[in-house]
Amino acid sequence: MTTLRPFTCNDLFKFNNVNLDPLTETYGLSFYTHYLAHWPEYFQVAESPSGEIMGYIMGKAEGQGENWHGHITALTVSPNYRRLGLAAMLIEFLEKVSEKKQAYFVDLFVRVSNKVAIKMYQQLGYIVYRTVLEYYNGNPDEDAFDMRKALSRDIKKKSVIPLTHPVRPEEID
Amino acid sequence: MASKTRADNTVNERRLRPIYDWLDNGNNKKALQEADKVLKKQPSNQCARVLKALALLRLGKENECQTIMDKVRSEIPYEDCTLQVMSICYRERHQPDKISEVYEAAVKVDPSNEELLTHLFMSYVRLGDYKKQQQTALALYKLKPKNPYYFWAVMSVVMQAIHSDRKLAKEITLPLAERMVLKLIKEGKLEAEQEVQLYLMILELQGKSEEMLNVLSGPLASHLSSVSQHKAALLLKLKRFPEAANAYKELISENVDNWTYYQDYLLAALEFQKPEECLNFLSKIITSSEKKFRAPYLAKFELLKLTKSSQIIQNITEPIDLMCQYFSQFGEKSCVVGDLRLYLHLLTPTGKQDLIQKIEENVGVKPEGFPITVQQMQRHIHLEQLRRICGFHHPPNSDINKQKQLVERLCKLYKKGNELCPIQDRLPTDFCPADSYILLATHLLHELWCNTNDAVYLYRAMELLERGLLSSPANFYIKILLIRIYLEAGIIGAADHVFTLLDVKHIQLDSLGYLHSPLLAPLGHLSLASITLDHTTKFFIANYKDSADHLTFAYKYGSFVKIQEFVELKERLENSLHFVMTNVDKMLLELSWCNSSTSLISTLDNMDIQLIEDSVRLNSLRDNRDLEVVPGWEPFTENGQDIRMQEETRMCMLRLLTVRDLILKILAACVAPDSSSLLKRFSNELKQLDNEQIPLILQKFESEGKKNKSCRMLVPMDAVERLREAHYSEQLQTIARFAESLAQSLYPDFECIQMLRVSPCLQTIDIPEKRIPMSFKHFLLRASTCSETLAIISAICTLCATQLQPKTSQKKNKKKCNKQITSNHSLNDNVNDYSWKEIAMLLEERIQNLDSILTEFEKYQLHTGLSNDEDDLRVTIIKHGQDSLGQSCRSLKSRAQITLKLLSSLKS
Repeated sequence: MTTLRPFTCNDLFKFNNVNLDPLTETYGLSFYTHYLAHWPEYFQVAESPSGEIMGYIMGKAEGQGENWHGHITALTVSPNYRRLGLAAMLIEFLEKVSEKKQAYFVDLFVRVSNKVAIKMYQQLGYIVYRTVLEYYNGNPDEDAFDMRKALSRDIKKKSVIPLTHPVRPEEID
Repeated sequence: MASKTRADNTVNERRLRPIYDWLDNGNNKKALQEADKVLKKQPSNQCARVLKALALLRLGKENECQTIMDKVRSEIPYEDCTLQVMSICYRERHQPDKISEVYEAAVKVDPSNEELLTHLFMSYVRLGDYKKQQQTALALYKLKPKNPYYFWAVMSVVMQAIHSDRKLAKEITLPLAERMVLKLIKEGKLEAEQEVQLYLMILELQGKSEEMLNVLSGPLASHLSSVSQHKAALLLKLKRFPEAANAYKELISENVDNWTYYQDYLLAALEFQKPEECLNFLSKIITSSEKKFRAPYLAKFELLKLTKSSQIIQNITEPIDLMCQYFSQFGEKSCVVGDLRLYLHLLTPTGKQDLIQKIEENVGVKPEGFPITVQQMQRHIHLEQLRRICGFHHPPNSDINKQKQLVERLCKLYKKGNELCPIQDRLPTDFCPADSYILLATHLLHELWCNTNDAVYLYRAMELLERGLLSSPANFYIKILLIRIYLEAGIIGAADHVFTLLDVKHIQLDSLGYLHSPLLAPLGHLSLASITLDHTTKFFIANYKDSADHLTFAYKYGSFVKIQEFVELKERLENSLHFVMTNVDKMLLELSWCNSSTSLISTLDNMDIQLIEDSVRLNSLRDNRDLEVVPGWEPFTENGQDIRMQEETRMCMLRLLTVRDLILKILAACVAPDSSSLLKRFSNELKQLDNEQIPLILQKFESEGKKNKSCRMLVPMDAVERLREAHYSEQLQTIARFAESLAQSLYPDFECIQMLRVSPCLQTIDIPEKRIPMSFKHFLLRASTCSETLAIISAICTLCATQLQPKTSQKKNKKKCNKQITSNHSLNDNVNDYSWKEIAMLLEERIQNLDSILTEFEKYQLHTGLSNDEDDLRVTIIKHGQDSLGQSCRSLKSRAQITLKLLSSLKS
């Protein structure tokens, strides 16, 4: 049980119980403010009854023509609030916003090693659309799955026909 | 003609490209050479000249940069590329007003250039000049009637309203903004969600809820999302309770687990309905939904809370039973504790006892038994946390002996629990579910340490937490508590190591910096302190440059709802208390590290310390600390006091900042023209704070004659410890009196030297007892105070003495005019020289004492008091401790040597 509300600048000072988790990256300030300035409706936070930040989602809408889609940039839930279905709730919200914007699909990138997340996305209706080779920098670099879910505007579900070949990061549009 | 210009542009671009590239790569030298090459062929090329200026600026040649910029500016450039580079230059030199000026000039030359006008608008956004923003936006709209330009103007009017007095806003500015929007609505030109949102914002600022509701029910609502939510909130605000309650019921049926809907539903419904009816509604939700949602259950507690004083609800189960039911439903989820905590105050003390007993039965772990599944363990952990919140870990329920037993029990539970979920069965990024046992044990151990002063408890906690970290490396709660425990023991090096494991960066430097950086220097790690303070200030300065960018983006994308928020973010960061404190600490550290009068004076010159106006804007400073991140399950205080003492610790930070800023000013005043009156003023202020305000705030952390009452780990220690040390070591008093005496007589008098002789801040305290576990916090704090004060007093002496020298020689020139005066002067000079020498000798002696004590302390063998079977970790902890203590000694000793060098010039 949660309150879902738009992320505000003040949340940047108290999102530590989420961001100190090693799986969550803390970016430079301008990364957050850029999203807040450009896609404020896509940046939502889940708050507990006591006012603690439980998790948040960041996203955007982009692409031309039939590639017009919603994108999940970051999704994170505090270790204290996992297994409560929060991620599903946040994604559902982002999908709703994308529907309203008449996007064709929603997509996201995930490390191929992150089995837990991949399974969760699959349960929420996402499929692996393609593999992006060496998308994540590191030692060694890691591949990403580009996962997608079609929205109602994509009647023929053309956006979710998986590619047979992997792509390079520079080939992503 | 046009094609010729275009060709020129391409040629120009091709020639300039390499300069841009070098600048982007950070190779400013190459950029400079490349620019010179272009300028050889085209000496008047404006863009190349300002690119050269930018390269010079980045090479640290500010004056040369300025000369070029001023020259180009006088030619009134209006080419976009030139102006862009000039903007970058001005931004990097913190002169955003100059950007506006060059664009203003350019627009006069080319008034119909949309791009130039847009840049001019954005330059005003950077300055926060709302009036000029408005004018420029309207000029743009006149030139090109596009909606965004019009709404830039509207938003600029709104910003004027927000930042003006309420009356003016209400009567003139906001109505103007509203009329501007209405005009476009009438013309049927509103087209974007953000535009409607801005309209709603204007209505809201005027308190026009009725009109807002009309907008939400009218055709404009088609642009908006979450309309029904917005409507429900307005109905509640307008006190149309039955409609509001229905709206929220509707929302709940669509979204059963959204907590705010329930809160607002109850607020509305209770205004016209009986509590029983609300209860029925909630029960119906529970029975009709397939999944187990927490919100409707919790809403029952909320209902009890709201009706507690007014009326008794018929047919409702006791809150205890409801809570038990809640626990049995959701006991495995870690949120259960936070949820119930909100409503535990509904119970009497015996009620709490009953509740705990019932939950104990529900969990089913015997007093000496252990959980047999992970699920049971989770429930058991939550029970233990609730027990702590209900006061079962504290006196009078638990005395020292009981607390010790409890620690043992929790350790055993952790050991067994860890076996239930071995590390190989878990993801390395998941916490070990048993970790909470050691977090609870650590709180108890910390209390035992505070109440018995026996450091063995600290080492016990270190061992527990370090062990926990091995099995659960992702658990940042363990790290946070470990930092605190190491700090309590004075082992700052180990605390710093754990802090790096947290990987704190960017904005976290502000919100979490308080966990360790303010104590690095006071516990003796001076070079680490210098690096950390530097790193922190860099974040703030970089942000200072960028923060206006967010605002320009918000205008660009029409995110009007975020604009005021960005303005506030900017203010919050620029006025961060932690930032200002870091800056003052950094400057004092640098000044205490000077080995000659020349380096002292040049360091001071670079600092640009403001002596006349108040450099520290105390009232506008913002406390950005995130205190909630430290885990704890403290019982409620009787009078609802904040258990983390945020306000009290903030006051300590403010006082510490003020006094350290005054020390800084005293140093700067020594070389100021009217040094005597300034020294007098600052020493008086310092004295007054030390005598009046500081004891008052420190009192809040004392009880029953004990100086250290705050035995809760949740209370941040940095500013409290430091202020306490500065006050009780008499550092503040000593510096104040020393400065005062210099203000009166330009050289230290007898009384003042006597005062230095007995001042405790120039002497160390006893080396901690050997062969038993000890905390080194107090010893190191004093050693550091001692070394800092010696450096500061020596610096004051050196600065004052060097100030006197030129005056004396001047006077000597006048020798011929008046013989008698001269002889008087030379007599004075002798007395002067004598007292400087005496002081120098005294300080030297103190430095030597400090040095020899630290040399002795370096040989100290650390004892943890841990038994042998924890061997591996004991070795690590001893090693960490020993390294850290050694580093503190070496660091403080090298500062002492530097001060010694400074003093040698004073003696001669």
